[in-house]
Amino acid sequence: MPRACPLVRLAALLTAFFLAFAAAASAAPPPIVIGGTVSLSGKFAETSHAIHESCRLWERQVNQEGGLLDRPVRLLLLDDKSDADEVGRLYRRLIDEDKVDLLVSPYSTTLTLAALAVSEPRGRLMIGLGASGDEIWSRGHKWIFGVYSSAERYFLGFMDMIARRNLREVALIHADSEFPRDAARGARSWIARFGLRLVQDDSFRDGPAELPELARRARAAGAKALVLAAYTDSCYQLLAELKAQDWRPQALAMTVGPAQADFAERAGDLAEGVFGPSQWEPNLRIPFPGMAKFIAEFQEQSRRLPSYHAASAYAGLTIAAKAISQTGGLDQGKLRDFIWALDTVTIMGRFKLDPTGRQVGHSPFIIQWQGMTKEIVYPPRMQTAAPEF
Amino acid sequence: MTQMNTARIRPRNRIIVLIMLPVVLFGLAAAIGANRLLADPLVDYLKSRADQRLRLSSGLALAICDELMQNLLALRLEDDPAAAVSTQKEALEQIKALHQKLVNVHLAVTDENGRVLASTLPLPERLPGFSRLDLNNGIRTQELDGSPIRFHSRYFPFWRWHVISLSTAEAYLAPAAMASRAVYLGVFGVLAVLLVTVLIVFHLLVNRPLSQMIQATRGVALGEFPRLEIKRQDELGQLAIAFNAMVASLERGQEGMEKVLDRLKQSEEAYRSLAENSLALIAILRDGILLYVNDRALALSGYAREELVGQPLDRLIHPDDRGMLMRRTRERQVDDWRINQYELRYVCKDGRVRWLELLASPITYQGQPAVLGHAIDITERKNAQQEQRQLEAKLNHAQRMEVVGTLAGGISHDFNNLLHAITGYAQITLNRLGEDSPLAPHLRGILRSAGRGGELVNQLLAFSRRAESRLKPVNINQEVLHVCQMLTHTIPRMVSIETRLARDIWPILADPTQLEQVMMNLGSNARDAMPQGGRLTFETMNVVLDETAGQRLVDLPPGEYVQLRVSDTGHGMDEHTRSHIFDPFFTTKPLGQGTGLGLSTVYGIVKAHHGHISCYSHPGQGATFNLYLPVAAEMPREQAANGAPPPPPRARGELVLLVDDEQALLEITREMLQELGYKVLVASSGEEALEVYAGQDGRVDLVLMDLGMPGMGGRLCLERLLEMDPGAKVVISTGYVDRGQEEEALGLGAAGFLAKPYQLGDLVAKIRQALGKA
Repeated sequence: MPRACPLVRLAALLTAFFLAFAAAASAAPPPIVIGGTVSLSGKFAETSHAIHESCRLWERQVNQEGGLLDRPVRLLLLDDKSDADEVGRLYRRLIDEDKVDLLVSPYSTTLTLAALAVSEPRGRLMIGLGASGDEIWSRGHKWIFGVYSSAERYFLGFMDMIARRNLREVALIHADSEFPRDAARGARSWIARFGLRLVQDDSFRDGPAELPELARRARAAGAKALVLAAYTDSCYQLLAELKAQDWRPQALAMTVGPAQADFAERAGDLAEGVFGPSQWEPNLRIPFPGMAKFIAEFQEQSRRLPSYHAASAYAGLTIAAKAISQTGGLDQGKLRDFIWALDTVTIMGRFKLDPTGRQVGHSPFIIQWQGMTKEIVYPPRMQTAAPEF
Repeated sequence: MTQMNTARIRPRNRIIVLIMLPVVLFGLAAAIGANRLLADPLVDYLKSRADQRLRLSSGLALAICDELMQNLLALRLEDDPAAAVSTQKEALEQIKALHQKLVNVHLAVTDENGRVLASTLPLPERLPGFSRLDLNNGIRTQELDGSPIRFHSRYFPFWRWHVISLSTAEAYLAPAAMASRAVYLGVFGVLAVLLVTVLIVFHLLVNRPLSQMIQATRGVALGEFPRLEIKRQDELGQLAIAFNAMVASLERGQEGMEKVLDRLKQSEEAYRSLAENSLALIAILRDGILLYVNDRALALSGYAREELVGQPLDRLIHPDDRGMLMRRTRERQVDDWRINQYELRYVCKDGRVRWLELLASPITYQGQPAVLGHAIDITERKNAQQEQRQLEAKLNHAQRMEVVGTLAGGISHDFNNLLHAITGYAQITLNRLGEDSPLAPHLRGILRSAGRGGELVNQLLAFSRRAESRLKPVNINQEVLHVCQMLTHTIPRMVSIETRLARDIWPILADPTQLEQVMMNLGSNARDAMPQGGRLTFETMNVVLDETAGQRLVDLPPGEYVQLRVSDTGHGMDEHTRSHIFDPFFTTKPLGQGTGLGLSTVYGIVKAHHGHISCYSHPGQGATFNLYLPVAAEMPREQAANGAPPPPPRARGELVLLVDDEQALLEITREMLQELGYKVLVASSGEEALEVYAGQDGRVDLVLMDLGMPGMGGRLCLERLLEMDPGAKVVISTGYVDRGQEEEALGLGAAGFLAKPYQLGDLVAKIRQALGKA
């Protein structure tokens, strides 16, 4: 029998090794894929960027700890450009083509409603990472749960404070969109409940064009307190207009903008004394479990403090991971039942849902910028500083 | 008084008081100042605390509401009426429960209209003015039912409640009052702690060492010499070292002092002994006041010391001498340091008067001038001097009497020799002429006159006690009765004679004849003293004289005597007469009526009987003579029967050597002896007698020799004769009737003694007795 060449024998061995390695690699469990969109551009880009960073932080942490159900976790986040139509298209792809195991919502109530229009018919469970508008919960959606408090409760604390301060005359200005409308509606109800008097109630579509006039009206109405329900850009526009009119009500509250960490940097002195609702604050005096680790690693990763939008995304993913681990699978129904029954505490605080999936365990803070520092002034038991009027 | 009180306080307590008093006063001032400085701020602070408590209470109540509101909101039940009512009820209950944990704060809740929903203090249903309570969380005080209430309200807009904390005025202001009390209590507490600390520190650091030092000092005061233990080097330690050094010095000083004191004590004892045991009276006076008297002065005066010290000296001085004492005191000049010496009398407490010889010298006593009186009680000496003078008078009298007696004796001797010669010659002549001779009457007249002369001489001899007394035991009562019987014949009837004779009178040694003569003479003298009549009394009694009584009677030894008292009621005598009544030849009778020898004879006889006679008399009060005669050891014997003497017997030729310097006596005596048949040799001196006696070669049978001869004298002659011939018989004859001479002669070996003048029969009897032929 003829003897084989040594080089041939080495090649045969190497070939066998690589074939065996390839076989082993093809046997690893498939990752659990959680898919969704972020607004890497468009009007929600600034806020959504923080959500995106927070999601990546969670992904790295969970995989470093071994993944879920012994499977790696992969976040499939697509850029929706802050456009609702793009959101619909992308969620159809994620569900139908990418076959993601779980969905996360885009930022804002508007985009979330667009995503729900795709996911609800398909019976896919969605984590509501950045939406709080009441329409999400009032339209009978079955497969979404929220992390944020409801927008209607954003000004509860502010109204309570000004009522105790006897600042009875309140002017209300809001943008004409879902979330601002929801927040303004909630503000009205709290004004009534706390015995305050609504001296102005106006909405706007074009902030730069309409806000000067609305501000003059508020002043003319004798408002002691001014409430703005809008997104970030409108906040800075109103501050600039008030400065231009050289008027500042005794209490000024605005949604979204003041909650962001760079508010003071951007607004400068105009930020002083501004109140704002906040779902969460990166303040270690707030004793929620896991906060320190989250804040530290987020800072390490992003070189800045996390906002409540980042925290809410992290908290929503943490709830989902807990549900997957506890149910031992990715069954959408089991996951829904588990989460709806859950009453726990995340880095955001208490997590508890009502049957509609609306977050009712959590209540928003009221923060106030005092000396370039964001202080929690409401609720009283969480105060880091007393409110200043 | 304050000082006395302060002095009574113990030094330790005084120091404590001195420390505590300023601290307490300072503490009071500090308390008042602190109260003013601290109380108001503290009250303000406490009020602010009370206000804070009100704020806190309302805040806590509000927090309850907040919590429940948050729960309600978290459950989204804020619009649920039932949940709202239930939660509100829960809130009110929790607020009420909260009140239990609050102090002096009540809680209430009203709605926005002031209606009280709940309250821990009884309040009206509605609080007027509380409908719009201060929503700026202010605090105010408001009258409520007349009582001020402090309120603090919080508005809880969620339920439109006013959550109110309130405090009553009492509770609200209580801290202010408490603050004031606290300030006082605090200050006083600090003060008390400070005081206690100071006292403890003082006690430990000062008081205890001082107490030990005081204790040690008391020990020093008690004569001990304790040493302090030195534990510290501070001032007290230095003080302890100094104290120990002082104690050591004191101990050395004490030892030296004790030695000095011993010497001083000895000296003081010596001086005290000198002063108190001195036989002299010692006193110290200043301004006539007695400051000191020694025991001797007290013993002699009879006063206690306290009765004399402080009293004037005049009180003691005899009134008669006070003037003298004052005069001498006045005459004494200031700074006259001479010593005064004089005698004066003082009066004892019992009234006795005694004599002092006083030496007074000025001294300095207790820093001031004084007089040291040093006196000797010379009462005894004074009395002795007086007695001495009396004795000297008596001695002078006795010496005078002795001289007179000697003179009388000498004269009597010569008279006896003369009368012996006259009587001898007259008798020889009468014998030779016979009784029938016409000259016989003349010769008998000569013999009678010579006889009276002899009696006179005998009286002189009796006075001079040279008369020979024949003493024998005699019952004086018998002699008194015998004399009284004789006196009744010689004394006029107007003079009565009485006798008071003692029974069992002791016998006396006396010559009955001389005793009779004594009583007769005294009786005669009494008769002469009572020419107008009176009473003459004889008394006898037994007496025992002790030494004192014997001395008072000058010359009587103590013993048993019989006293014979002869008294009359006559005119008596003055002192001069009384002092001379026993002098011979002294008489108050007219010339020729008395010899002046009666009482002197009595005196001589009594003295010859070893007795004593004295006379007590004053003019007009009669006179009393007391005679003391010694008692005899035996009772008187029967007297020999009296009878006529037998005629002298005739001699048988014996040879008699007759020795006498008187030639007349020699001749008459030779003739008388020759008449009786003796052969007689004569010698006129002792020397001649020795020659004659030697020349007879033993043939002389008897020598009759006079003692009083010139030359070798009778006494030496007697001795030589007896040396020459121890068997020689010598009879001594002398005109001096002295029993001493008789006894001396008989002692020298004389065969007999014969007093002149003697009768012839007496001579023959004595010769025959000497020759052994009686």
